[in-house]
Amino acid sequence: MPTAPEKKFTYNPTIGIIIAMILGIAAGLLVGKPMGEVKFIGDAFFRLIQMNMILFVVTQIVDAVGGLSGEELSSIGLKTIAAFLISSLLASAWGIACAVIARPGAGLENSELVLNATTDLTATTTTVQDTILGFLPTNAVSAMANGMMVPSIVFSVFLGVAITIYRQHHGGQSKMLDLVRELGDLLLTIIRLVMNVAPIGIFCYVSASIGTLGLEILIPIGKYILVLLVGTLIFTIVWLIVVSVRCELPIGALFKKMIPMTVMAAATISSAVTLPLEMDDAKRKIGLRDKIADLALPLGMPLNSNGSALHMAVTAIFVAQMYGVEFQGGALAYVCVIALMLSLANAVAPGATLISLTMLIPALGLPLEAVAILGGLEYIVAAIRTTLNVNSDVFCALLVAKSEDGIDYDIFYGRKEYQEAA
Amino acid sequence: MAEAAAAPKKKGLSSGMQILIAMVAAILAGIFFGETMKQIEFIGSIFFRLIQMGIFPFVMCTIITSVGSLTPQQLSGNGLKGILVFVVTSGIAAAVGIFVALVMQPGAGLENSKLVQEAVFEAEASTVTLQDTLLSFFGNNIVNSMSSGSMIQCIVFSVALGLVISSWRNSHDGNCIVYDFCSQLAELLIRIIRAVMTFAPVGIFCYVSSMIGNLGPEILIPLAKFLLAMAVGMIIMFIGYFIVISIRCKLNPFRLVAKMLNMTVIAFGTISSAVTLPIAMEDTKKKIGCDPDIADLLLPLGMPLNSNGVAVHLAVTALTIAQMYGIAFGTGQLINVWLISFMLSFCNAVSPGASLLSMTMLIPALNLPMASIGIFGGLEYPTGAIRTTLNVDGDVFAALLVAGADGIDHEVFDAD
Repeated sequence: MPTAPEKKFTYNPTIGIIIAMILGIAAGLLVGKPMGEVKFIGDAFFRLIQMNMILFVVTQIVDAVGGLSGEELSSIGLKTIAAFLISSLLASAWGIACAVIARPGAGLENSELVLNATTDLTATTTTVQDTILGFLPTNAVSAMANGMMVPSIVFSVFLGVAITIYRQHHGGQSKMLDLVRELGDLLLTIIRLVMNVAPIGIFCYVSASIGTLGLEILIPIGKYILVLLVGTLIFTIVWLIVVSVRCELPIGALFKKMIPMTVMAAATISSAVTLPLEMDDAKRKIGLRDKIADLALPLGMPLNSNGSALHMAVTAIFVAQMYGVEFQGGALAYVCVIALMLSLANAVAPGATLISLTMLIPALGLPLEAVAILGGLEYIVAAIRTTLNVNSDVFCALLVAKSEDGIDYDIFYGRKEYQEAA
Repeated sequence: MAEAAAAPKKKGLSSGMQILIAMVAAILAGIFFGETMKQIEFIGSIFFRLIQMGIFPFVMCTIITSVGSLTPQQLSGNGLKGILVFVVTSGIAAAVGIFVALVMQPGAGLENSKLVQEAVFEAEASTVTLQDTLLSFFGNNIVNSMSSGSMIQCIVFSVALGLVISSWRNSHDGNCIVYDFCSQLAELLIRIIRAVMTFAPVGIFCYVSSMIGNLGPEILIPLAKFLLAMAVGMIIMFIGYFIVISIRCKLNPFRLVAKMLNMTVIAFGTISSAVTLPIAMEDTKKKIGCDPDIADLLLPLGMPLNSNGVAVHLAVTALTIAQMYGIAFGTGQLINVWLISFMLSFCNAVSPGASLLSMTMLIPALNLPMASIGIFGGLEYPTGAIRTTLNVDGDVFAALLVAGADGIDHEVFDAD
């Protein structure tokens, strides 16, 4: 493809989304509850993207794994998964440390908020064994139909590996791979088209969320939000420093290239909806090579959830403090591991973390009412969490890429245009 | 008239005729044997399940390929105008169907029958808001939409994928693996469906005889009213068309009727728009004097895409069944019926048993009882005739509408 003419018009999606968000918050505050009426437009926008997501992720992973050679597969795959697990565990531990030091839940024992909390949620109990078993599908179609990301990905990885082996015996050809690859491209085209109206969808969604919930809810548990926000911020900055040193990239430039996806993540509170933009920017702006980006980023969406792990760890300790329960030593390690596990089991949908909390809180012997209090905060908390989830995917991918010659520095420094693979 | 024009290609009886005979036999068997006939209902269910199992991928692949095969030429200028006319007229047709069924109440009057008293209907409560209805067109997860049978969500996805495929094919020399895959899959599925359709008379016999045996012959009363309602719907559409066309194209409506008589009779007799297409094209160009460019573009395009008759048929059927079971539809569900009839009319299968097939799509999509499918599916021939007539003439009307007064050679039109 010859050099595509640069877009001349000044429409910048990131700016559009930021403006939509600000307008949305303002409209939500000014108009209040009636803004809830437009939520369905935002929902419709999200669904137009979400409907493609499971197939998109499956096609990306099958394509990425199926397109690799044997050695590449094991080295990239293993390194990526190791990076995901270690960073999520660190995030979880960091979240516990933040909450233990800052004690956001102390002094709330007798507040109205805690005393009045009621819930219609039911406790879900889960053991570590169940959680691990849950990563494996019993039926690939039903896993996809129910939006269970990890089982679908496990299936896709196996299919991809099978395709790799098949191709070795068939002169590198596989009709299945071609079909999957093209389907992935077609789905991405649908998503890109829908993205053009992102500001409208985001305005409706944000204004409805703020309008129906109001900002007052923030005040009593402002400390919790603050701890979460600062904890996430520090974690992100440390990540940024580690990656820029390891990959020898200028920190400022890297930060700047990651702004659009961060804004998108915060606005849509969905790592799934952000994924296409994230992949585009990682390839076109940061210079991540296809073999890394196509594998690590879709894989990281459900498997690498630094933000969710951190959020769940902070929340667990916060709730315990709120009800005057002290966790120590072994119990803290348990919280750390459970938070990590549940961050892996997250279904990729807005509001999914609430479901994870219904597993986490009872698993720690804490009252479920706490989830109801936090439920009202979902939007704000999710915005914080999702940015870290998305950013850490890219960070992990960059770390792996460094050791696999997967970064094209010419693209990063703007010396060359990204070329679509033939 | 119908028998004279019907030209079955197969030896022996045409499939429409076989189904009709099966239905009559089933009514007699049901009356004679009574409730014992219920024992064979499962055979009918087997038949319908064999069709239903392939319906979702079939509908999706059909829509993906028909939208995906549109060329930029068809998606611009007269092609785009034509598609717009198809969409609008099908929407109107579905609305006319609903209107007629609401006014004539073909399914009413069974309140005291065993049918209504026994019916356990799963149709959801009518507390759905407009926003919920609109939102429900979009699925969260296309695989989930397919597995849970959300027809509209699957159609929305298929149209989106089809449009993207169309632009993809344009920039890749017409090559698209996904398109080829879908078109072959649709082809394979229709073969399965055709093979199963051979046994349609058996399936219909089992369903109808068990229904009549269980509920008594008064269940048939709505059928006459139903056919009447469909005929009225068709006539309303025709009159509307003739008025609009004669104004827009400055044509004498009576002359137009005479010129279209030939293709209408053939459509009515063969109940196949595919068979009628060559004659429709010939007559539109040579007798009515429509601009050949427009006729050549829009008539073949309209055969799968523009099916006003199907839209009327589906809307009337859905409401008749709902009325028979005493289900009152609220505004939300009426919108739903309208949309489903409208959208399903775009995946009109060109195959024997087409009415039966579209009913297999419609009834589960609206959560109506499957048992009702037998008696309405048994009306394959009369409904097929009405549907096809309106489908074919609707294509011609759409072409004339796009052509306008300037696109018609009035000398040809006025000549005899």
